[in-house]
Amino acid sequence: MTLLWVLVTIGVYLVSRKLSFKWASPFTNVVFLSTTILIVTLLLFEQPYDVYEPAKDLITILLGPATVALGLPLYRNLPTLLARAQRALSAIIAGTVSTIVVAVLIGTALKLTDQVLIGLAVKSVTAPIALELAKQLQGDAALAASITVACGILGAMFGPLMLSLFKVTDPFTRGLALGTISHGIGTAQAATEHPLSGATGGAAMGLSAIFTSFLLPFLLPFLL
Amino acid sequence: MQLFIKWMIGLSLLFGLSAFGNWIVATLEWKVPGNVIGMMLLLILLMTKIIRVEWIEDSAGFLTKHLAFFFIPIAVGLMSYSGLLKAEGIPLFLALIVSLFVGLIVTALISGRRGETS
Repeated sequence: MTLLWVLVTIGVYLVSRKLSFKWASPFTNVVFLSTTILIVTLLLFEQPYDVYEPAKDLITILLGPATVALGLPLYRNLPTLLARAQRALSAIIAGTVSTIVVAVLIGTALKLTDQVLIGLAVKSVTAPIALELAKQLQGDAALAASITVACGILGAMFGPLMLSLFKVTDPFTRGLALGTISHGIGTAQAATEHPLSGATGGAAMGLSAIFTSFLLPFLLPFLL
Repeated sequence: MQLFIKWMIGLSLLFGLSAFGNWIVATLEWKVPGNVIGMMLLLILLMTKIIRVEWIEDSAGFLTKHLAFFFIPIAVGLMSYSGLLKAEGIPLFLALIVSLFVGLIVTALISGRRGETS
């Protein structure tokens, strides 16, 4: 059964990928489209998420090596990255802080519960660390991870559009911004645009995760 | 056959680095994802030529090309939160989309919209 769901996931992914090449739009984003199809399929067959979970565990074993693999484009683009390291680092830090502050302030204004607010505070870092951070901040880890994933998907769907709207054409910067705000899912999207974007996305995702981990325990008491 | 061996070597190295990164983080109790440490280690090993690009380029290239795939099963987990999404979905969406926009633009403006090279 697990193997069947793995195969279904691969099939859905390949079809979604084809569609995303054919009609580029936020709604044909690979992660969004595949996820929607899979959830609808599970609901149609009246299957709870528990049924799918073993397949998830199997596939995410490869997420580790796949993230490590970003070290290769990082290596290949190292001269470009080092030449712009100072501004890139300032950009990552400013982007991380601004997105956290804006998210939590809007969440507070709209009277979201504390658990959701903690999820919003950690949303920009990659899911495994968001989980850890939420635990540390006495939040609901699974909920935080889900909000993080939602943030990543929204970033991958609308991020490229928002950047183009602001005439951000530099592949270096596009990857950097997507990786900073939308972690791995944003980086995956950036990597489809340009190899350099994948590299800067990977670096930005790592650096913003490190930075957020150190910053959040101090910043959050002021926001909540 | 040669290609198969290259793939095996590449995947083993990537798996090994990922496991090693997780081990470092767990042992030293760092609040950083182990995979990111693994990524940095790979970078260092490539820079010092301890790992050659040829050994990993096929497997690493394949995995990064399909990086999005590995997030799909995690995203399917969102279905467990339909109750919350009904109750707080719209304000949550607003907070996410506005903060996304602000964060992206702040990052992009500082890093440089057009860049120095292009």
